[in-house]
Amino acid sequence: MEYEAVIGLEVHCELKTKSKMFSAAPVSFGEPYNTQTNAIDLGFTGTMPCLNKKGVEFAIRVCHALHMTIDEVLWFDRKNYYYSDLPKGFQITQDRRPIGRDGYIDIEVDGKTKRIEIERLHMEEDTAKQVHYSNFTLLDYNRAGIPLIEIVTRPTLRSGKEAAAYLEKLRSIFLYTEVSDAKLEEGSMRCDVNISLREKGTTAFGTKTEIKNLNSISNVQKALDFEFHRQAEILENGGKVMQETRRFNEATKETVLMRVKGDAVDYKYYTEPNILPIRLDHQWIEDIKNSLPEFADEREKRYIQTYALPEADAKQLVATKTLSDYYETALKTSQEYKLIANWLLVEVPAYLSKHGETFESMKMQPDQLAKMVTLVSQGTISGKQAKKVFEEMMNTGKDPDVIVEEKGMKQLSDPAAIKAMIEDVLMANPGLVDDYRNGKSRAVGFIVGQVMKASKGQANPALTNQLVVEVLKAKM
Amino acid sequence: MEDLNEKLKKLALKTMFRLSDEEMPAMLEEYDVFMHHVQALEAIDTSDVEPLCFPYEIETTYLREDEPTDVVDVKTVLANGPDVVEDQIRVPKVVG
Repeated sequence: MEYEAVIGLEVHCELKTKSKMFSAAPVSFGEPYNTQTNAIDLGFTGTMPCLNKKGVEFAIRVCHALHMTIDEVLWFDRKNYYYSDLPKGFQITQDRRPIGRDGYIDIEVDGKTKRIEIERLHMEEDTAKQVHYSNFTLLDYNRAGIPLIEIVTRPTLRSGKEAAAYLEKLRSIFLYTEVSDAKLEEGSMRCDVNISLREKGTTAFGTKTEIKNLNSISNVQKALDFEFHRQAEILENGGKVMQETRRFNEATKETVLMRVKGDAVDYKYYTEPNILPIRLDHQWIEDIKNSLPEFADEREKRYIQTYALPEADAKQLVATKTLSDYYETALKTSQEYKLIANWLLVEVPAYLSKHGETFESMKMQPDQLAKMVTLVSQGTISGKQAKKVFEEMMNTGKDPDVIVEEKGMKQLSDPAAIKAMIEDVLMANPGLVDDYRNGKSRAVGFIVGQVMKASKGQANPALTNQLVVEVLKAKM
Repeated sequence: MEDLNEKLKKLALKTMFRLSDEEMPAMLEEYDVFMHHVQALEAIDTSDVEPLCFPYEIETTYLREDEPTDVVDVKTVLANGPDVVEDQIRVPKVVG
């Protein structure tokens, strides 16, 4: 039998505000335990939550990027459950009225575009961080109350590959809207996955399993691929898929059972009585939408249409916002669109991986790369010299002009001087003119090589080539 | 119909409190009184009535500026903690 997967994703994203969602306690990472918290985060009696304006703005940015309808009146609910990571005994969230509804993301898989429908985006608060030891758990409340947004898809995803493409796109939106650093491996972006199978061509949903512990996009894809085969095998053998929560084991690339779901937990949602409905200023929302920076898709289009970059280059550039921003800055100094892209996509990654460095800590500044590309295109330095200048810029962060000066690298582009060197080569090798006359074009390459040698690599190769042919023709 | 004792035990578990056999007769009595109240309420037609969540039917507009201005020192934070280890609160482990 042929099966198809029905996949739903719930993504949590931590917003990089300066203070918490409902309190003015600081949001900062790597601080000593329990030093970034206050009476509201800890749920002390009599405290009142007070909503963070920036948190709302960030949520609106993402809503807009996901083409959602924005609810201009904010309502909050309490999600009640009893667990040690939740100091108040409930989490403030948006259950009945999420700020964003009915959005979508277009993804591309195997050359085809597919629209992934998004049901909702809501705002809520993070829980305390728990570190589990063999027989006890330690609690750090620094994370309690950090703003979160949760984004829930409709069950329109059909494969691990589609899920991965969706997550890549969503992550890029978090980065381009500058609301989060969105790192799955550090937990500032988290993903819960559920998957069920059904016979292809049918519409009823099968029993779904939920998968947790997914700390990278590639693990989401691997876990879903594994789960698809596991469920298909059960169904193929006439068995029943159990409704259960499974965990992805990174070492074995398999999902393993965590717990079978019995009665669903009753969260006893009700309206948060301490936050009256908040009406947002319509113009403020419009201003937020209008001030959003360009997204990856728009940049990609501009790179292809205006800069005539190959599609693959454009995609690679926009895939990482820091890389794309770097490119944008470089273009302020030089409009050699393709050449700058080449350096960024080929030489830079090669250098970084060779030296075990990261793009973010790179010494070479965008304007320096652009200046060096200009030096090449103006013929001041050769392509070969450029590689040396590049290495030096990456090593030291010096300006290309300074490096060229220091290393005496200036390319020799004076025709008279080059011609003189050509004549010297011909004098030393009298047979070359005859060779050329007899159709041996190798002679040209030989002479160019000799001139390069004589000039210690400083002669402009293109010009030298052109002059050699001129000189030889004149002697025929 | 499900046995009422069993039903109340299940509800107790869901709402996370312990219900002993000694307490059960009192609980059954309370439950009976409570259900009479519910029946009285069910007699009212509420089909077109929105739930009332707030004492005032008003909207607010205030949003707090994003400034970290209120933090409590770690000693105060942990003052009520019955079991503190390295500035963290120690609790029983409840995951597998």
